Amino acid sequence: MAETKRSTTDHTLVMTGRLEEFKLADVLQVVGLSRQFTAVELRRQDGRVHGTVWVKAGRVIGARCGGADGRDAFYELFGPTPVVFVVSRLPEPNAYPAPLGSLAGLLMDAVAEARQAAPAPAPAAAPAAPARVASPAALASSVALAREGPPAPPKRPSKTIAGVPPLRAVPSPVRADVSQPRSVRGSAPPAPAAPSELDAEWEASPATRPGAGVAATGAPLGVAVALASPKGGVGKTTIALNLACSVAQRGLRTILIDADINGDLLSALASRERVERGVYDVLGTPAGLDAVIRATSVPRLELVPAAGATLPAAATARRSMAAEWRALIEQARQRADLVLIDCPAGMFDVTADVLAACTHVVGVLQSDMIASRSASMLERGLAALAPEARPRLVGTVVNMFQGRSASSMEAFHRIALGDSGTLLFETTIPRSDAFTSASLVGLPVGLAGRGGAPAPVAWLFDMLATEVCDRTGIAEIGTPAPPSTFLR
Amino acid sequence: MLTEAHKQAIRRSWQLVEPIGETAADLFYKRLFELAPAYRRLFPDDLAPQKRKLLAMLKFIVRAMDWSDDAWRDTVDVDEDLFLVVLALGRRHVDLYHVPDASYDAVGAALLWTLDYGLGEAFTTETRDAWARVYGLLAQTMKMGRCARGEGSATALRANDG
Repeated sequence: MAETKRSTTDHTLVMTGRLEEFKLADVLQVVGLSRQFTAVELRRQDGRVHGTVWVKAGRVIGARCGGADGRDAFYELFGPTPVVFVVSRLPEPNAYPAPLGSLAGLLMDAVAEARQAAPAPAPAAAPAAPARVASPAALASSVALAREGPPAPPKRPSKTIAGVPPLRAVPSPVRADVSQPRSVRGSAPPAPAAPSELDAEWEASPATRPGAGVAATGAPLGVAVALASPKGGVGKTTIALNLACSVAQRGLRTILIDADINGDLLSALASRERVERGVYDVLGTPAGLDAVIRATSVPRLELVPAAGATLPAAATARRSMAAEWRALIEQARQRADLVLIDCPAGMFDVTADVLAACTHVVGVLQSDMIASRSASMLERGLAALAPEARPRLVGTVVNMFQGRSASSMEAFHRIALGDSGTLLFETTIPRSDAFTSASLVGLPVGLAGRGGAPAPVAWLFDMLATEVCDRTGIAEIGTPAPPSTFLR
Repeated sequence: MLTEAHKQAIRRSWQLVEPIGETAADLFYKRLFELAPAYRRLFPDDLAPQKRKLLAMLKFIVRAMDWSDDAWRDTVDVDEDLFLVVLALGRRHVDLYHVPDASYDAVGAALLWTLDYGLGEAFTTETRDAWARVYGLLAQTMKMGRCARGEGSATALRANDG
């Protein structure tokens, strides 16, 4: 205790270690917990100082590296040169200068800098296996959102879809073997399902629905899939985020829109403080999608957050904004093969507006008893929509399945045997600590694995992506035809 | 990094856990030894003092969340500094108890399971995320304890080790 009192007037060594053991981003994150004025000094192999960053209470007070000061110096610190870190506590100054920014925000920016500096990955020779995004730098394993604002609209590659298939061409969903979910049973061949009443109405509905595959300009439109659930807390956002990553990694241009004003998507990515505006800020305004769309570290995946720090007026509007959602989602469909929209919980209000603008909907149900009892509300909610405003139910995915839990198993069987079971996806997502680990670093589960290897559960999203693409009729994109023979 | 929302979620949920602290501590160690039976030998036969230390540590962590981002200039005593205290705790876990890095995964899983079990519906996705994030940062800090020198290895938590 005596030592700590004395040290308030001295530079006091706190810890020192090698960056091969602990990454600089990790060191800075834990130092950011401290409310002391702290210096993190980086040294080269020869012992010389490479640079220093000063931190207090999660704020970066300053940075110096070589001849640079400020933000540029901060980014320079993440190069390969330094090998040792030295953390010291400094005396409190009389006054602090204006901080460079929050440590979280600057780390995000440093990741984006690292990504921009990294060479573009070579095109995959065989696109059959979904390519996992490799980190361009050790730092880049920490964050998902890229630094810059919306990129220039990408050119439509000639190999991608030439418009959405006609609505009648959408393959019929299949009934899965419901004895056990795919995550625990392996792959069983699906049997054809009887079309539901909703399917029949959907087939017969007029061509004025948003699923019509060509825009007024004649440009082909992507597919818009809403993720909806009658109950909250079922993991819709987790499904949406990881499914979007898997779809993009198949080679499809993908846009993920957060339509839930609570903005759980940004929470999952630990990026709330990095976003100033979102979709609710531009709904019904001339600003449009370009003002709020963000690039991500996953090639071909763009993200539209719900809102920034200030609650937009559209978020609290009581009137229907179906027309505004339709206009915005059509903008997204003009630049993407697949637009995924993470809806708020419940099947009415905002969800109904979004559904009316979508070509398809995926239901998300949780494998527990309460959720299983509300499963019927999914189809009842859809049935309440006018036929011309009703997207096609692609299927229902069961989330948070626990194979060792009798109640979870029971809930799964109830879902499977109920109305929603008709359209159950073969892929079921288990409850897994991998999601918690991924949320710790603010990454999709497929990008958060140790040593570059994603958690096994990540591959389930690749399978789910395959099913969604199959059922929406865009499976052929990026997927080569299987060989006619195996042995050559 | 921790946001104001994370800190609020931690404080709010702790208000519900604290009255059932003893039960929560029982659940935590029961779950921990289910997940990792080999760790039982790292603890004394009588777990009661250990449970008190665990609750004291959790209480300290929650108290350390009780400041606004706007107050970042404020000074705090080193004995109340979350990073310094946890770093020193990590150093002792390495030097005295020889706790392997791998154990932090099991401890984190047991903690989240306990909170889930104890809080029920109140353990929302946001609350789980907040606790997972805090635990992840603190576990990383403890692992860095083996790098602690000087003040980083000397700072004492009055309530003893958790």
